[in-house]
Amino acid sequence: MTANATLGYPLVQRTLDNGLRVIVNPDHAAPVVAVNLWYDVGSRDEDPGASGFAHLFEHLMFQGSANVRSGEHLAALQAAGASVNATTWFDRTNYFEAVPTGALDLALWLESDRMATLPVALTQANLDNQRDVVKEEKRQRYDNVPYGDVIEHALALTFPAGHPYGHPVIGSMADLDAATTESAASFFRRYYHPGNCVLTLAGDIEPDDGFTRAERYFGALPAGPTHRRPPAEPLPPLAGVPRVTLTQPVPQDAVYLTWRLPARGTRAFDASDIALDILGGSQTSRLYRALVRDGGLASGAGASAMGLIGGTSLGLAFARALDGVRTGALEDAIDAELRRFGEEGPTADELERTRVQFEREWLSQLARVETRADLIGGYAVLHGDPGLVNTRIAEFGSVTAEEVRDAARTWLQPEQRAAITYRRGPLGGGEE
Amino acid sequence: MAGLPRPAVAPPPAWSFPKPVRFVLDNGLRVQLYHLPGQYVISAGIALDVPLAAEPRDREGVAGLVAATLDQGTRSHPGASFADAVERCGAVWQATIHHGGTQVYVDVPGSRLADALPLLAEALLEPDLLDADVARERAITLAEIEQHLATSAGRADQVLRSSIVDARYRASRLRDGEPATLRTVTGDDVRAFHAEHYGPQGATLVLAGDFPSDPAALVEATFGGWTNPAQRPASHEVPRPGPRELLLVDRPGSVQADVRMARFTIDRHDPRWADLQIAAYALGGAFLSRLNSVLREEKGYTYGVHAVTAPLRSSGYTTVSGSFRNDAVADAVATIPGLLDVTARPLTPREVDDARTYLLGVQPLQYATAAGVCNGVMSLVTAGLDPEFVDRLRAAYERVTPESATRVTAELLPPAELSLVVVGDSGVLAGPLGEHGFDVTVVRAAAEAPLSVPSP
Repeated sequence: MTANATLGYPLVQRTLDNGLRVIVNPDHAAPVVAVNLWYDVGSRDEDPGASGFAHLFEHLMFQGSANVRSGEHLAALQAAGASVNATTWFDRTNYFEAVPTGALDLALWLESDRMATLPVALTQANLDNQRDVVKEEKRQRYDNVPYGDVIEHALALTFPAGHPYGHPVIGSMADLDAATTESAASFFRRYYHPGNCVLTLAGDIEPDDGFTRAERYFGALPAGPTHRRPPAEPLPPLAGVPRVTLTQPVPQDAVYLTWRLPARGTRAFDASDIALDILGGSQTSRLYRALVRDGGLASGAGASAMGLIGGTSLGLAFARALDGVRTGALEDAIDAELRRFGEEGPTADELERTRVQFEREWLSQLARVETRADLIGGYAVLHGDPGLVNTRIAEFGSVTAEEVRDAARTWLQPEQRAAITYRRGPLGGGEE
Repeated sequence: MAGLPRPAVAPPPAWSFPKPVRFVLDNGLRVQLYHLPGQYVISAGIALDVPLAAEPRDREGVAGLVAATLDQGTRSHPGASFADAVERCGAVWQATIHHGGTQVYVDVPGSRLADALPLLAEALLEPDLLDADVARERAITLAEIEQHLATSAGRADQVLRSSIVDARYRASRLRDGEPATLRTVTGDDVRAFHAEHYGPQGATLVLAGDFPSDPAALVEATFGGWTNPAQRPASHEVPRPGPRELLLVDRPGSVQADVRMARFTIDRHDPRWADLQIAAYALGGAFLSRLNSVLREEKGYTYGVHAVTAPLRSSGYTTVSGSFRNDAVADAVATIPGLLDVTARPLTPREVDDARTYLLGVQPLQYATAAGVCNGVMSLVTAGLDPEFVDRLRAAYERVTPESATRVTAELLPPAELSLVVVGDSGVLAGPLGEHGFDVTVVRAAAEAPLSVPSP
């Protein structure tokens, strides 16, 4: 395998009459099939005042449908030896189960029952219960965790008010309180129908068999309304260094910096991604060397890009201060590295390292049928081309040093950042 | 969907754990090779027979610092040039410490195995372990411990372990060492520990993936010359339980509380292991387990509550864990013992069958990748088990009956005997817990009684 390789995972696609796209990736290494449904809906589709709704709705999808009792979707599949879950993100909601081959029909039947009939089972009691569960999820993952509000502040500083990416996927307590069974039913009608979904089957199944089963369980579902999002206008880089300073019971002072980047699926995004990887993707990265290894300023430092499809992605860098180091010194050190990188661009060594690391990470993700099915569904929904799973290594490897340098100059300059600073305060204290 | 009847589930096809090619090098290093077609990223890991109990009591943390400093420079690749070399061949490096032993591991594209394997050997055989690197890794580890304990869940896990495992045993304390001892570890300590404990005796090298060619010769050429006459034989501790405690760890301002209810139980060598695994899944593993169906799906107190057994090499402990909103904590804590009471409500045939099918069904996926096989085998080796354990456990699952699972659970998890750790705002929680009959000892950050390091 080399960085120019095109992979050969077989992919066969068919679209049912009702618009459901079905993709089969046969792989007979183990007697299991990964079933993955990507619905083209995420937190970016939430109405004002309804933050967190896409994710709350994902929970409701496990609360029963016409022929399935509350909780039974998960319970029945687990009892057949499957692992099951779902996630909600800015650009997607995905539902997936990896099943022993003998349980594939059950999985497809359960998925089709909720795609066909979910509102029949929506009750106030289920909504209230899952609202409570989601609030505990929010507390456990964000509100009760040091630095847990960083993503909320990062989005608010990086995107304008009311922008689809301006609020976190988990939403706010007040907006969760506002959710009703009526709003859930209308959300379902708008987004949960065959034409807004890609069904991927990866594993121990042949394409014709997969299509026959998909037709059997999903073919009779009616087509839904086509919805077209308004085209997402790319945002220009930030100006004026928007900033928030928080005093909280965090273990160490820390600084988080963000940037606006091009949308995922563009060469400019890949170039920005490579730039951030070279700056902060590993312990050989420039930020780690300058702040942790050589500088003795930070206990940790890094950078990464979060690809988003709707016009603008997010870039992030962070550093956590060692005792006695001011966050201003961390910011200055990061600024200096950014400036130098923008002037010099990557070395040949750095670029090669990023390529081979990307190749290994990509191959590792494709090594599991579950993550492979998810990547296939994701590239089908967001880019209209599941075959990108076979060509991404070559595509990523073709980005040149000049493109990386130019991306850093265009998108990752110090004056284009937003800044979140944490100062260590006592337990039980509030923010400044 | 409407119109089509619910499909029946066909029995799963037969499956068994992959069979390795095994051999032993002249220096005693055991080797297991798993050829897995289609797995283009190869996992290469070595499980070293270096238990944390080998650390001097007043230098606990030294094993973790050796592991953390291995990739900070070697004789052939000084300083950062080692990490550069690892990354340049597309590999990712990981060194982890466990109470039973140390594991050093790389993932690498198959075409670069011949570049990566010598780097793995180099770091084990000739690491520089310089004072400056040790000092930096020590500062980073101390900061990581501080971050870990600043989280509610991390604090709960640490206090539970220190309570449920008797303080005489290394397993009662953080793997990285408690800060008090870690702070004192020097470069000399690190180099001495490496010299006395790293060697081929008792070590197992595991390679898994789609091998472009037979890797046996590469293994021999890379590790065949490894000797360490100074290597000390490892001795493994057999921990005992600490006294039962009910602790409320004060974390002012917390908007929910982490709860752990646990009992000292068994490890994978125990003949009751399959019964306990099936019971724990029925009680707190499945989505509609007894615990989760009441505390999450009925009452909405929590995002999720689980019952899991964490096996050590010898003994282990079984823990119910979850985080609950403040006003529900006392009721949750009072409800959990009743939900675990299998004497009042024995495990049913349906519960046991569902648990068995799940535990058997997820294994082919768990071990479908090179990383899954390599890490799985290292974990077994570190626990003193061979890879055939996977198939033996499958057979044992088939023999579990509702009666045997109920009997084992009643024996190992008597509901009235559970230790309790709650981490949260004691001002809010102490009153309601007392009203529910839990006579908790409040642990405040300043006192930190469970964190103190007892004398050896």
